[in-house]
Amino acid sequence: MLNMRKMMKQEDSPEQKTDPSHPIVTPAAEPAEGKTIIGEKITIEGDIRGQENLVIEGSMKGKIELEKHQVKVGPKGRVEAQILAENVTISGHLVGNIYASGKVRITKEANFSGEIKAKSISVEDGAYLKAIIELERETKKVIPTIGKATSEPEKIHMNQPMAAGKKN
Amino acid sequence: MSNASHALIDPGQAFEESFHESRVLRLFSERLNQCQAPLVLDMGPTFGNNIHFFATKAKKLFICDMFVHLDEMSRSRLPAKKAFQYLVFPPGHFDGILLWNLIDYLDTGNASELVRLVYKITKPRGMVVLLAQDLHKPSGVPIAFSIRDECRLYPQPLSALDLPAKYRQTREILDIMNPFALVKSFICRNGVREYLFARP
Repeated sequence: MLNMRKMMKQEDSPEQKTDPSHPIVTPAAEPAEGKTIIGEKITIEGDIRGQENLVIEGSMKGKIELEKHQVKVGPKGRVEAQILAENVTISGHLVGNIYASGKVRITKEANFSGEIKAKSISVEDGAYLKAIIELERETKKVIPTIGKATSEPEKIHMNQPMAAGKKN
Repeated sequence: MSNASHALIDPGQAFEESFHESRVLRLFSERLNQCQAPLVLDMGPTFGNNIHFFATKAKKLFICDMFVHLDEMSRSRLPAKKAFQYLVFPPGHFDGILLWNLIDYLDTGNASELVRLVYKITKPRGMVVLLAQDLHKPSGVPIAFSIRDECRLYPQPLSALDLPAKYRQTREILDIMNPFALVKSFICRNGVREYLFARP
């Protein structure tokens, strides 16, 4: 595990910036909800685990585990990793698998190759995806086929005039 | 893979007036509902709506934008069939494949080769959705289809793609799709022809 604090820029919560003479002490068990940014000129190889949001603008290779937090790969980010997080936003280049308990958002600048398992997904038109997407879905019953087997192809010859009802 | 796809779709230029209600898409969705854990392959360009539509209906949705790969080959002056290298899947893998109007952008030899490949990776009784543009109204730019309002298909120009179109008669299309059995076909008011095929 890398020492993230030393390597990355830290965005403090707004309260901590107000009055340096009266610092707000945050209990260790409930750290201030900030975010860590891996800057453009930073390259990391290894695993990242933690309890706050993460933005990657640089390069990262390894594994990211931020189960209850958000991970964002910025437009200049280049990541080769497995990501486990609540919500994930991809705007840069990512090769790897995403496991999100919440939402995955892929913007139009993204270039993603890998597998996504998530509760929901939104993809902007024009993104590049070579992906396998699996969303949480309710278990459903297979609807039995009644009468004519649906697997039996029903041939219609295009040369024959189409029924009026079939035109859209 | 380059980022060439990013500028390929002009969302603002949708041909708003020429949408059609897709009966084939509706049939395809109904049949997916009859599968326990359907695996679907979408070979069309990345449209958020399309991905959402199929990801909520399939157990797993595989995305492989063959329009972009064909464009890459065309720009690199490589044979179109080199783009098929991206379609490496186990035999009999998919319950449904969305071929869209991809064969409009392939010569007959390559289209037949693609169809043979698609046949191989489709499960027995698996379905293939194919669209073909209006023979009499060539669009001038490559077109793909974006799903909106449930099963409505809107043509989207892909002006940045370098893909010359080849419009075909229905008979030629059926010849190309020969290993598959035709399940249903429709001619829509906007001239788009829709076909649902099944692997026997």
